[in-house]
Amino acid sequence: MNTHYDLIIIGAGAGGYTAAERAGAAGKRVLLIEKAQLGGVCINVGCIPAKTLFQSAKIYRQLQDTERFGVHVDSVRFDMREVIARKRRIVAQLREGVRQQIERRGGVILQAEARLTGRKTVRADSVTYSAERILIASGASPVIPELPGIDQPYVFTTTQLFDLETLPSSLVILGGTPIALNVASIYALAGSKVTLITDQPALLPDVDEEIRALLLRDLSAIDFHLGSHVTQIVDKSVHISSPSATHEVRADAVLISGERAPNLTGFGLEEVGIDADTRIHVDDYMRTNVPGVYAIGDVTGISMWAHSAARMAQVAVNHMFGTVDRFRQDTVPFFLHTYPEIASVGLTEAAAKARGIPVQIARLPLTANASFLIENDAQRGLCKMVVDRRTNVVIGVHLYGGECSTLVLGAAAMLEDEFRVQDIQQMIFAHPTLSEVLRDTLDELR
Amino acid sequence: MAFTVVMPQQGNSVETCIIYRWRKNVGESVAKGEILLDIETDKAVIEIESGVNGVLLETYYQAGDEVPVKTPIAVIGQPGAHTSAAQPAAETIAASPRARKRAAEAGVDLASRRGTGAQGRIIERDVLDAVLPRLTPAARALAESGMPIPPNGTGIGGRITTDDMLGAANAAYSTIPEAAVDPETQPASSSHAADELTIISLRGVRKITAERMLESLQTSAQLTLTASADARALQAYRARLKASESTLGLSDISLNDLMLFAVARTLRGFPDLNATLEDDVIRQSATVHLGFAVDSPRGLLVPVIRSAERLTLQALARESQRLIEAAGKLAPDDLSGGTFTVSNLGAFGVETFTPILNSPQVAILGVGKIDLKPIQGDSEVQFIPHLHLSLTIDHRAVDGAPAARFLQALCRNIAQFDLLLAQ
Ligand SMILES: Cc1cc2nc3c(=O)[nH]c(=O)nc-3n(C[C@H](O)[C@H](O)[C@H](O)COP(=O)(O)OP(=O)(O)OC[C@H]3O[C@@H](n4cnc5c(N)ncnc54)[C@H](O)[C@@H]3O)c2cc1C
Repeated sequence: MNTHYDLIIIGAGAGGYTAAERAGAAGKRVLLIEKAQLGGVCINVGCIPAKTLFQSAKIYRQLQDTERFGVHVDSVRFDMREVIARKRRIVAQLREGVRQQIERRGGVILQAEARLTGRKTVRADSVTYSAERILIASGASPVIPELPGIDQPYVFTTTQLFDLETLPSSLVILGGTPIALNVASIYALAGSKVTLITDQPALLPDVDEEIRALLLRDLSAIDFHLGSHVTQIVDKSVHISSPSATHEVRADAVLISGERAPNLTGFGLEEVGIDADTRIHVDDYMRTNVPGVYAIGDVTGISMWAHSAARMAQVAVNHMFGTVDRFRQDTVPFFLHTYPEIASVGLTEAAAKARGIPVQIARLPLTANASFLIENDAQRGLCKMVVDRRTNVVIGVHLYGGECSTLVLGAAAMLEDEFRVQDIQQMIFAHPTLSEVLRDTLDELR
Repeated sequence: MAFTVVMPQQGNSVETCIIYRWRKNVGESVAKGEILLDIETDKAVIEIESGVNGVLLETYYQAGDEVPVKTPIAVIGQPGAHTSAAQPAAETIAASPRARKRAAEAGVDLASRRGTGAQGRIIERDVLDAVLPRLTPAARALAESGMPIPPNGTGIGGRITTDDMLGAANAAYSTIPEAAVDPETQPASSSHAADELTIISLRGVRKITAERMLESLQTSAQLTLTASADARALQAYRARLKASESTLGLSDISLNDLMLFAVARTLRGFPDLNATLEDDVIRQSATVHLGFAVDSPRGLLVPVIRSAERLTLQALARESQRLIEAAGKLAPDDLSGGTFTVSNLGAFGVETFTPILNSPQVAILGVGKIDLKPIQGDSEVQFIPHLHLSLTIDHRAVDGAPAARFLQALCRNIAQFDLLLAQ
């Protein structure tokens, strides 16, 4: 096997495999080294399993609420075993797709643990490979808290939970991250009794305040314990202490879904002198402090989402091979598969104010939108848009309700090109669709 | 009747001047003797008065434009007067000054544009047509309101965003030429990519600095000697000044002023270092005209303190303060005729360096930071604060030994600063 490449990539998650595809498409010789499974967290145990489970849970939920649409369903049943089987099928199919995309472009995939041995060398399976550029895409792993009872057989991470073929009748989630909320929402829809416990005082601190409040109110099926500590897990019950009280919650299953920490140890970062403390530090072009060595995705701790990892991959490959590009953090879309969904891109009112940007806020309840009313009937929804007063540019779009995540692409495109209110008002929005709210909300501005 | 205002000639060597700022707008009236504009030469900003009474009818150049001397720059007359006779001379590429300015800012090659103005002249619009597609709609609105367009953008596909526009508007003078940065060793925290060059043409102070530095190194035999001086007396004296009653007006005298004082007084005894070398002639000066390097917003300037060796410490400090405060607007007189120069980088933590001679001067002193130096005392090693000094000489004019003697004398005078004051 060849041992010299243009680019060696460590880790084949959303970041690593995208980089391999992009560099391969640019005619570069690429070696992609992955110690576990092609596709990393996202395809195997993260976004894809989560969305697959969400889809089934959502259909199940919708089928319980069809009467208002004039449709009567006699009996509905959720079968976790079949849902998990479907998830395995989809994951396998996507994984295979990734393999084909990379190999079709001449990339070489190596199943092995990689170790950085120099600025331009990587060791795997007792062979030293060299390359002009090295890309670290080693991802992140869940942080497991130290807690009495944490090693009980019914305490899981999402990796194990998403393989569980029976729906736990009660699920206690430890952690207040967006992903924790996402998983809570899925299992609640499927019929588990879900409790979410976090020591954080509030959930989703970066989300628009009004939208956050609406979402949490509508997720009333979930029992939230904010600002609370878990003291131990015994006999399928989780002991909680909060400033006001202590009590126990019954748990068929417990999920650890707190912070995820970048994977930094055991593969040579210190030896090569890469600047890393709790994450690898990179610039807007994904360069580390060591010339020729780049890092992308969760390991950079900048924005721990698969779409960010994929975009960082594109930026890194572009920069390595001479195209001007940079990672623009302000336009990373955010959404959660809750029911209803929330989605946003750009700055919230609070964030804009913190930067000293004078803003104007446009606000429209989604029930003003025909399509939303037809699809969701009695549900609530809201669109908020943040406009820079100085330039009239839309700098933030925040949505809640229905399947609003479908709008986030359009909103991101508007932000990327700094569309002003008057530019958006000149676009054509298909009717009747939810997308019309992006225009109609701005019409609320005086 | 209309009068043409031409770019005045500032001394024999000046070929171009930069319009620093118009004091009058087109349409405003101006009286004879009133200041019409400021221009910037290599070393100074100079006020230009109007020679006539009238209305400013037309200006041909904007602030920032570099204009050859004796070129018409404006017309003053009565409203309605005929101005066309006073157009600036035609250039090889016919383009309006506004078009040229835009092209320079945005990195557009004028030769690549087709002119749509009168007689095929390239006008601002022709340049903007090349640039505007690279701007976001909002940035475009800013450009159309007159804001400069930077050559590179940080938006999608390299698009120029409003942030880039605002950044460019604030960046004047403070940009670092990208060529100086090695892309391989540049740390991750740097804000410039190797492939996003900021293009800055050498002109004004920068251009003159570039020429002088190169010329200095190419035409003299430079040798740098380093030494360090016991800084305790200097520090103690500075502390006393600082603590002195404010009515005495001594508390603002800086460490650098003390250094300038020590240098000026020491030079009295070393005429061979207080000299210039030009056209095979060494001119030793009886008085010390002491230049000191100032890092001004317009670049490196070296104002000169006249007859520095005769000034009291307080008078010298006042003069240095005046020159520093006026740095951007100094008259040519304040910037020429030095016989010795001091450059102080101590405040930046620099220890020693190799100052480049301010030719035709034959010596320059570099002042570094104060460090603790281990000195063997009677019984034990003591750590004593020492000031780093770097003396560059032109070996064509001065030999190593006299230079070393001067450095030695200077170190002694610094170490016995209180005694020097009494001399
Ligand atoms: C439950 C869950 C749901 C999520 N849902 C979403 C979602 O809906 N949308 C979204 O955008 N993001 C989601 N995420 C986040 C997303 O999964 C991550 O942001 C994404 O996977 C990051 O990609 P990456 O390439 O940086 O790292 P990873 O996907 O973690 O891949 C890193 C890979 O590197 C390999 N590796 C590490 N070290 C070595 C070594 N020394 N040698 C060889 N291989 C090595 C690992 O085995 C791993 O496969 C979710 C995450 C979880 C846990």
